[in-house]
Amino acid sequence: MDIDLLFKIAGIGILVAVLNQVLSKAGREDQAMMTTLTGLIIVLMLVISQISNLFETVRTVFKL
Amino acid sequence: MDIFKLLGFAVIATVLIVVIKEQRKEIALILSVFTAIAIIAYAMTQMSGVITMLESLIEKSGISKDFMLIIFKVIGIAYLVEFGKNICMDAGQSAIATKLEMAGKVMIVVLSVPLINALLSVIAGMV
Repeated sequence: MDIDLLFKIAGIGILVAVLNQVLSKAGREDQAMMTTLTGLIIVLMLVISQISNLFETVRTVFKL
Repeated sequence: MDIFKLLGFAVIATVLIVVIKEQRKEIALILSVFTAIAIIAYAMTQMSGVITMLESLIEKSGISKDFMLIIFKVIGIAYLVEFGKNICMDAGQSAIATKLEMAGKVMIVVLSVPLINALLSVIAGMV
């Protein structure tokens, strides 16, 4: 229930959205695509660790 | 179970998701996945106390231990399948969601085979 991770992910999302707009307006479509991908990868890395410890908790609680 | 923290977390996350949804759908999806995980992890920590109480209750009642393990496994599988199904539904992939649900049901049936055998043997014994 750590709210700061939530804000971190939302911040990255907004940042990528803005960067995308700026880059696409400046005509650099490929770089816009790159920033989207990097933003996505960073967010995924953050969430994957949360997913793994959730599954670990469920495994221990339900003895799966 | 601090319901206000839970409620605040869910509402803030929903607002953030709506903000991000127009530009970056995929990050909005990941944000909703993360919120679901955080809320379930919080609920799961409360759940372990209930599970230990249930265990001691079942031991006292004399039901054999492996039936109880099967019951807990089935609950866990049902819980996780529900979790995955809702995420797939949110992303609009209802086909994947239904396949996941069917696979979950198959796994539950496979798990409950010994239970069915035990039940049949009890019935056969009575006849």
